[in-house]
Amino acid sequence: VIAAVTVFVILALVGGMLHRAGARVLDWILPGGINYYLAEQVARLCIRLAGTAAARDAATDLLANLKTVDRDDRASYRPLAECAPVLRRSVGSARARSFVPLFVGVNLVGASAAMGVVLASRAPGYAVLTATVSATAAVTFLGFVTGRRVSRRERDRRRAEGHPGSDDARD
Amino acid sequence: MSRKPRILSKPSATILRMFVDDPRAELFGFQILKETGIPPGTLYPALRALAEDREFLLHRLEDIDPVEAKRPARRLYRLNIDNAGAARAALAEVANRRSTTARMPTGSRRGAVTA
Repeated sequence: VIAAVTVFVILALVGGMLHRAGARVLDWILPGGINYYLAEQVARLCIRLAGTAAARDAATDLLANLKTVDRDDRASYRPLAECAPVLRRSVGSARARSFVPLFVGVNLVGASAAMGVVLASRAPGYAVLTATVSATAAVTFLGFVTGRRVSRRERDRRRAEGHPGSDDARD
Repeated sequence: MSRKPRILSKPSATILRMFVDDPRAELFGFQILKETGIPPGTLYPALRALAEDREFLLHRLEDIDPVEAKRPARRLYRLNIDNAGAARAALAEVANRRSTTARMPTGSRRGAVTA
Protein backbone atom coordinates (compact mmCIF):
# COMPACT_ATOMS: atom_id res chain seq x y z
CA VAL A 1 0.00 0.00 0.00
CA ILE A 2 2.84 2.38 0.92
CA ALA A 3 4.55 1.71 -2.44
CA ALA A 4 1.30 2.32 -4.30
CA VAL A 5 0.66 5.51 -2.36
CA THR A 6 4.22 6.69 -3.08
CA VAL A 7 3.69 6.12 -6.80
CA PHE A 8 0.41 8.05 -6.67
CA VAL A 9 2.03 10.92 -4.79
CA ILE A 10 4.86 11.12 -7.36
CA LEU A 11 2.35 11.03 -10.21
CA ALA A 12 0.30 13.71 -8.52
CA LEU A 13 3.39 15.91 -8.09
CA VAL A 14 4.37 15.53 -11.74
CA GLY A 15 0.76 16.04 -12.84
CA GLY A 16 0.46 19.13 -10.66
CA MET A 17 3.76 20.44 -11.97
CA LEU A 18 2.56 20.48 -15.56
CA HIS A 19 0.42 23.52 -14.89
CA ARG A 20 1.72 26.67 -13.27
CA ALA A 21 -1.36 26.88 -11.05
CA GLY A 22 -0.75 23.34 -9.75
CA ALA A 23 2.94 24.15 -9.23
CA ARG A 24 2.00 27.32 -7.29
CA VAL A 25 -0.15 25.26 -4.94
CA LEU A 26 2.73 22.80 -4.51
CA ASP A 27 5.01 25.78 -3.80
CA TRP A 28 2.62 26.80 -1.09
CA ILE A 29 2.21 23.29 0.40
CA LEU A 30 5.78 21.96 0.26
CA PRO A 31 8.39 23.34 2.65
CA GLY A 32 11.47 25.14 1.27
CA GLY A 33 14.11 22.39 1.35
CA ILE A 34 11.91 19.70 -0.27
CA ASN A 35 10.64 22.31 -2.72
CA TYR A 36 14.18 23.19 -3.80
CA TYR A 37 15.20 19.51 -4.08
CA LEU A 38 12.13 18.71 -6.22
CA ALA A 39 12.75 21.73 -8.43
CA GLU A 40 16.34 20.59 -8.98
CA GLN A 41 15.18 17.08 -9.92
CA VAL A 42 12.53 18.53 -12.26
CA ALA A 43 15.17 20.71 -13.94
CA ARG A 44 17.41 17.64 -14.47
CA LEU A 45 14.41 15.72 -15.84
CA CYS A 46 13.65 18.61 -18.20
CA ILE A 47 17.20 18.51 -19.61
CA ARG A 48 16.74 14.79 -20.33
CA LEU A 49 13.25 15.18 -21.79
CA ALA A 50 13.91 18.28 -23.87
CA GLY A 51 13.10 17.56 -27.48
CA THR A 52 14.23 20.90 -28.84
CA ALA A 53 17.38 22.97 -28.48
CA ALA A 54 15.31 25.85 -27.05
CA ALA A 55 13.72 23.58 -24.41
CA ARG A 56 17.17 22.28 -23.45
CA ASP A 57 18.50 25.85 -23.10
CA ALA A 58 15.54 26.73 -20.86
CA ALA A 59 16.07 23.68 -18.64
CA THR A 60 19.84 24.26 -18.43
CA ASP A 61 19.32 27.89 -17.47
CA LEU A 62 16.80 26.83 -14.83
CA LEU A 63 19.20 24.31 -13.27
CA ALA A 64 22.11 26.77 -13.44
CA ASN A 65 19.95 29.39 -11.73
CA LEU A 66 18.92 26.95 -8.98
CA LYS A 67 22.55 26.02 -8.41
CA THR A 68 23.54 29.65 -7.92
CA VAL A 69 21.16 30.02 -4.95
CA ASP A 70 23.11 30.15 -1.66
CA ARG A 71 22.89 26.97 0.40
CA ASP A 72 21.52 28.98 3.35
CA ASP A 73 18.74 30.44 1.20
CA ARG A 74 17.65 27.08 -0.28
CA ALA A 75 15.60 26.22 2.82
CA SER A 76 13.30 29.18 2.19
CA TYR A 77 13.40 29.20 -1.62
CA ARG A 78 10.28 27.88 -3.40
CA PRO A 79 11.03 27.63 -7.10
CA LEU A 80 8.54 24.98 -8.29
CA ALA A 81 6.28 27.47 -10.08
CA GLU A 82 9.29 28.59 -12.15
CA CYS A 83 9.80 24.99 -13.25
CA ALA A 84 6.26 24.41 -14.54
CA PRO A 85 6.54 26.26 -17.88
CA VAL A 86 9.99 24.75 -18.50
CA LEU A 87 8.66 21.25 -17.79
CA ARG A 88 5.72 21.86 -20.11
CA ARG A 89 8.10 23.04 -22.81
CA SER A 90 10.34 20.00 -22.33
CA VAL A 91 7.48 17.54 -22.41
CA GLY A 92 5.88 19.48 -25.28
CA SER A 93 2.79 21.58 -24.64
CA ALA A 94 0.47 19.32 -26.63
CA ARG A 95 1.75 16.19 -24.90
CA ALA A 96 1.54 17.91 -21.49
CA ARG A 97 -2.10 18.79 -22.13
CA SER A 98 -2.90 15.16 -22.91
CA PHE A 99 -0.90 13.88 -19.90
CA VAL A 100 -2.70 15.94 -17.30
CA PRO A 101 -6.14 14.27 -17.54
CA LEU A 102 -4.32 10.93 -17.23
CA PHE A 103 -2.60 12.08 -14.06
CA VAL A 104 -5.86 13.44 -12.69
CA GLY A 105 -7.65 10.16 -13.43
CA VAL A 106 -4.89 8.01 -11.93
CA ASN A 107 -4.81 10.14 -8.80
CA LEU A 108 -8.53 10.20 -8.25
CA VAL A 109 -8.64 6.41 -8.64
CA GLY A 110 -5.63 6.16 -6.30
CA ALA A 111 -7.23 8.38 -3.69
CA SER A 112 -10.48 6.38 -3.81
CA ALA A 113 -8.59 3.06 -3.55
CA ALA A 114 -6.54 4.32 -0.59
CA MET A 115 -9.70 5.55 1.08
CA GLY A 116 -11.28 2.13 0.52
CA VAL A 117 -8.29 0.41 2.14
CA VAL A 118 -8.52 2.70 5.17
CA LEU A 119 -12.23 2.11 5.56
CA ALA A 120 -11.87 -1.65 5.13
CA SER A 121 -8.88 -2.10 7.45
CA ARG A 122 -9.78 0.66 9.88
CA ALA A 123 -6.04 1.28 10.19
CA PRO A 124 -5.61 4.90 11.30
CA GLY A 125 -1.97 4.93 10.11
CA TYR A 126 -3.13 4.99 6.53
CA ALA A 127 -5.32 8.00 7.12
CA VAL A 128 -2.35 10.37 6.83
CA LEU A 129 -1.25 8.78 3.57
CA THR A 130 -4.80 8.87 2.23
CA ALA A 131 -5.08 12.52 3.13
CA THR A 132 -1.79 13.20 1.30
CA VAL A 133 -2.94 11.38 -1.82
CA SER A 134 -6.32 13.10 -1.76
CA ALA A 135 -4.66 16.51 -1.30
CA THR A 136 -2.23 15.95 -4.17
CA ALA A 137 -5.04 14.63 -6.38
CA ALA A 138 -7.03 17.74 -5.55
CA VAL A 139 -4.00 19.92 -6.36
CA THR A 140 -3.58 18.19 -9.71
CA PHE A 141 -7.25 18.58 -10.47
CA LEU A 142 -7.29 22.26 -9.50
CA GLY A 143 -4.13 22.87 -11.51
CA PHE A 144 -5.69 21.09 -14.47
CA VAL A 145 -8.95 23.03 -14.36
CA THR A 146 -7.32 26.43 -13.76
CA GLY A 147 -4.44 25.74 -16.12
CA ARG A 148 -6.72 24.70 -18.96
CA ARG A 149 -8.67 27.93 -18.71
CA VAL A 150 -5.51 30.03 -18.42
CA SER A 151 -3.69 28.20 -21.20
CA ARG A 152 -6.62 28.58 -23.61
CA ARG A 153 -6.71 32.32 -22.96
CA GLU A 154 -2.90 32.55 -23.17
CA ARG A 155 -2.83 30.58 -26.42
CA ASP A 156 -5.36 32.89 -28.05
CA ARG A 157 -3.44 35.95 -26.86
CA ARG A 158 -0.11 34.60 -28.08
CA ARG A 159 -1.51 33.63 -31.44
CA ALA A 160 -2.93 37.13 -31.79
CA GLU A 161 0.47 38.63 -30.91
CA GLY A 162 2.35 36.18 -33.11
CA HIS A 163 4.70 34.75 -30.47
CA PRO A 164 7.28 32.41 -31.96
CA GLY A 165 6.64 29.90 -29.16
CA SER A 166 2.88 29.77 -29.75
CA ASP A 167 3.08 26.46 -31.57
CA ASP A 168 4.90 23.24 -30.79
CA ALA A 169 7.26 23.41 -33.76
CA ARG A 170 10.29 21.23 -33.16
CA ASP A 171 13.68 22.52 -34.26
CA MET B 1 7.85 23.90 -45.30
CA SER B 2 9.51 26.49 -43.05
CA ARG B 3 7.82 29.83 -42.67
CA LYS B 4 10.14 32.83 -42.79
CA PRO B 5 8.52 35.68 -40.87
CA ARG B 6 8.74 39.06 -42.49
CA ILE B 7 8.66 41.25 -39.43
CA LEU B 8 9.69 40.56 -35.84
CA SER B 9 7.10 39.59 -33.24
CA LYS B 10 6.71 41.83 -30.20
CA PRO B 11 8.72 39.57 -27.82
CA SER B 12 11.48 39.05 -30.40
CA ALA B 13 11.69 42.81 -30.88
CA THR B 14 11.90 43.34 -27.09
CA ILE B 15 14.74 40.81 -26.84
CA LEU B 16 16.62 42.20 -29.84
CA ARG B 17 16.31 45.75 -28.51
CA MET B 18 18.18 44.71 -25.34
CA PHE B 19 21.14 43.60 -27.45
CA VAL B 20 21.00 46.58 -29.82
CA ASP B 21 20.92 49.01 -26.87
CA ASP B 22 24.04 47.38 -25.42
CA PRO B 23 25.96 45.78 -28.32
CA ARG B 24 28.77 44.51 -26.07
CA ALA B 25 26.45 42.72 -23.65
CA GLU B 26 26.58 38.96 -23.42
CA LEU B 27 23.32 37.76 -21.89
CA PHE B 28 21.78 34.40 -21.05
CA GLY B 29 18.12 33.46 -21.27
CA PHE B 30 17.28 33.64 -17.58
CA GLN B 31 18.70 37.16 -17.32
CA ILE B 32 16.47 38.33 -20.20
CA LEU B 33 13.50 36.46 -18.70
CA LYS B 34 13.91 38.29 -15.37
CA GLU B 35 14.30 41.66 -17.05
CA THR B 36 11.52 41.42 -19.65
CA GLY B 37 9.07 38.95 -18.08
CA ILE B 38 8.74 37.08 -21.39
CA PRO B 39 7.71 33.48 -20.54
CA PRO B 40 10.35 30.79 -21.19
CA GLY B 41 8.15 29.02 -23.75
CA THR B 42 8.40 32.15 -25.91
CA LEU B 43 11.82 33.47 -24.92
CA TYR B 44 14.09 30.53 -25.72
CA PRO B 45 12.65 29.71 -29.18
CA ALA B 46 12.78 33.45 -29.98
CA LEU B 47 16.46 33.63 -28.96
CA ARG B 48 17.27 30.62 -31.13
CA ALA B 49 15.33 32.08 -34.04
CA LEU B 50 17.08 35.45 -33.71
CA ALA B 51 20.45 33.68 -33.72
CA GLU B 52 19.96 30.90 -36.23
CA ASP B 53 17.23 32.01 -38.64
CA ARG B 54 17.85 35.74 -38.75
CA GLU B 55 21.52 35.75 -37.67
CA PHE B 56 21.06 38.93 -35.62
CA LEU B 57 22.64 37.23 -32.56
CA LEU B 58 25.61 34.96 -31.97
CA HIS B 59 25.62 32.31 -29.28
CA ARG B 60 28.15 30.17 -27.46
CA LEU B 61 28.28 27.96 -24.40
CA GLU B 62 29.64 29.57 -21.25
CA ASP B 63 33.32 28.80 -20.74
CA ILE B 64 33.16 27.04 -17.36
CA ASP B 65 33.95 23.61 -15.98
CA PRO B 66 30.51 22.27 -14.92
CA VAL B 67 32.10 19.99 -12.30
CA GLU B 68 34.07 22.79 -10.72
CA ALA B 69 31.27 25.35 -10.96
CA LYS B 70 28.72 22.71 -9.82
CA ARG B 71 26.24 23.88 -12.44
CA PRO B 72 25.74 23.37 -16.18
CA ALA B 73 27.14 25.86 -18.68
CA ARG B 74 24.64 28.43 -19.88
CA ARG B 75 24.20 29.52 -23.48
CA LEU B 76 25.30 33.13 -23.88
CA TYR B 77 23.96 35.41 -26.59
CA ARG B 78 25.42 38.63 -28.00
CA LEU B 79 24.67 40.91 -30.92
CA ASN B 80 26.16 39.86 -34.25
CA ILE B 81 28.04 43.08 -35.05
CA ASP B 82 28.18 42.18 -38.76
CA ASN B 83 24.38 42.17 -38.80
CA ALA B 84 23.77 45.04 -36.37
CA GLY B 85 22.53 47.31 -39.16
CA ALA B 86 19.98 44.75 -40.28
CA ALA B 87 18.89 44.24 -36.65
CA ARG B 88 18.32 47.98 -36.20
CA ALA B 89 16.42 48.09 -39.50
CA ALA B 90 14.21 45.20 -38.35
CA LEU B 91 13.45 47.03 -35.10
CA ALA B 92 12.68 50.22 -36.99
CA GLU B 93 10.33 48.25 -39.23
CA VAL B 94 8.51 46.87 -36.18
CA ALA B 95 8.13 50.37 -34.71
CA ASN B 96 6.95 51.70 -38.04
CA ARG B 97 4.46 48.86 -38.52
CA ARG B 98 3.15 49.29 -34.99
CA SER B 99 2.49 52.99 -35.47
CA THR B 100 0.76 52.26 -38.80
CA THR B 101 -1.36 49.52 -37.17
CA ALA B 102 -2.32 51.85 -34.33
CA ARG B 103 -3.73 54.32 -36.86
CA MET B 104 -5.72 51.63 -38.74
CA PRO B 105 -9.43 51.02 -37.99
CA THR B 106 -9.92 47.99 -35.68
CA GLY B 107 -11.52 45.77 -38.35
CA SER B 108 -8.61 46.04 -40.78
CA ARG B 109 -5.78 45.17 -38.33
CA ARG B 110 -6.00 41.41 -38.80
CA GLY B 111 -2.82 40.04 -40.40
CA ALA B 112 -0.95 43.31 -40.00
CA VAL B 113 1.70 41.76 -37.74
CA THR B 114 3.29 38.43 -38.63
CA ALA B 115 5.16 36.08 -36.28
